[in-house]
Amino acid sequence: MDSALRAADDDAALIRAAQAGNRDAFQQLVTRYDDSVLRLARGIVRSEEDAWDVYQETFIKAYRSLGKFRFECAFYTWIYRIATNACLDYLRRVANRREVPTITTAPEGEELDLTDAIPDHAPVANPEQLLLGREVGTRIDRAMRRLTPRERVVFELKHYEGLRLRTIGEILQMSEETAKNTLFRGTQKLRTALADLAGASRASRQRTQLGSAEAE
Amino acid sequence: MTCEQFERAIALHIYGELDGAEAHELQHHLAVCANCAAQMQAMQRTRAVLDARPAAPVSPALLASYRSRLEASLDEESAPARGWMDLIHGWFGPSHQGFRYALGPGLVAALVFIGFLSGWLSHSRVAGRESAPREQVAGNIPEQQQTSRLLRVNSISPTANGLVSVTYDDVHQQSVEGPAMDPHIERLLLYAAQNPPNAGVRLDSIDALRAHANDTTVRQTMLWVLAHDPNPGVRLKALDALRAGVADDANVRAGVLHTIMSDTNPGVRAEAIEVLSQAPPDDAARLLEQVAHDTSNVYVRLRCAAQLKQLNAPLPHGVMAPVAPTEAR
Repeated sequence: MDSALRAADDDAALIRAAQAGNRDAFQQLVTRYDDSVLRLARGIVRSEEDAWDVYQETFIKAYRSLGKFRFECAFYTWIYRIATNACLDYLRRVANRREVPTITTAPEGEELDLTDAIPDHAPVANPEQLLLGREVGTRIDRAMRRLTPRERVVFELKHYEGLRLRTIGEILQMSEETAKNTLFRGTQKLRTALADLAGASRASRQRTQLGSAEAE
Repeated sequence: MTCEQFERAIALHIYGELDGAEAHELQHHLAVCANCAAQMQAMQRTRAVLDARPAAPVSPALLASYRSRLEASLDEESAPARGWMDLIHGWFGPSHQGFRYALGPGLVAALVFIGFLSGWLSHSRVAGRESAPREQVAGNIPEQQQTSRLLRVNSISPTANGLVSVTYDDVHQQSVEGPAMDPHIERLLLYAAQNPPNAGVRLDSIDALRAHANDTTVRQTMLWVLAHDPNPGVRLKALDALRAGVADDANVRAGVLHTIMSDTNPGVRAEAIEVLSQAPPDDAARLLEQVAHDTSNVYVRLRCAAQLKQLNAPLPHGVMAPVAPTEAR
């Protein structure tokens, strides 16, 4: 591949071409980043249709605002910023809808979330996941709802996307220190909410270790 | 540090966000504090549980369907608002504070022409890509992935054996070493040349690329840096790298001309006049005469006159030969 073609591959060249109105160049930018955006959206909103809304909103906003992009940050940071803002808007909307509480107490005293009865439309890869993952997944999703929208997004970007907190701070336009504190608060809430599962996983690990010791 | 503060450190350590000294302090504390050691284990177990959440897979088929739905939505959108003046400004500047000088009619016409020319050139560059076979683009994906998640270039340094060493962040910190024109390294250098915030890194990238300034891509990047970089030292470095291109490349001459007319820094403008005088004598004399005639800045006019004198060209009407060039602003 010659250097001119390589240059066209670069974000900067694509951005400039897209800024000049070239739709194909914009489409190539979409293709470079949309898997990350969609993965983030699906991780946060956990539903097919809402993930599409976030995906669409992100790239339409990017298309409308691309003329204002001045290369002051990486394009990746910029597009993630738009996507995380769309996710934050979604989480705030959901939080407002939840002003009518859905958490109730069962006769046995156990706390129940009525929305858990609503089927999860996220596709399940295989029956094993259905059996093992669904219970854990549902519990984790419920634990995640205890996080504020910002804690939720920081946690998702850190735990599931593996981004560095400095980068997360740039995306969310907060200091690295604030990102650290936000992650800490989020993990504390999750730890409390999932304490029994974490304890169970320890017990099951101990059982496994005991079993293998006996087998020996 | 108190146990309460170590609790925060534990969460950060679990996610690899403690620096060496902090991690060392934490390890030391965990060895002597049973309570914090238990907290650490609890946090590790919570992390393991969170890892068990089934991911919603992003399949190529799903992405393809989303892309096609998005394309339909974009069809309903108008193109990003960008008029012809924006195009000229976008390509040539103005460097951060707007055009400082009123452009004379000759230069306006020249800049408009150059704007159309460069617009046409950039269009044909992209058009060339459009006509590239799909397989060629698809076959390139691993190479694209190398820089598509690039967030920051942290340092660039030459090695003893004539190679370049680059450290950068994508999701994690990476480092790579090789010749400047290796495709991956060249991308990193071109990216670094155009991306704030570290002017030192931008200077280093231009240093590493300057030996290849006759390459079209490198030259275009240098022109962009010359028109847009906020740091005059970086713009001077780019100008110097473009020196060789003035003789044979009209685009370079246009970029240098624009710098003479609109750069905010007198040192950069003076250097640009000197660089422009290295164009073929007829072109150099014509361009310098035009600048001297159109500019309202006394200093620029004097420097042009000095260069014209060296070229033995007649001074434009109304332009006095300089006695001694002095900074006018």
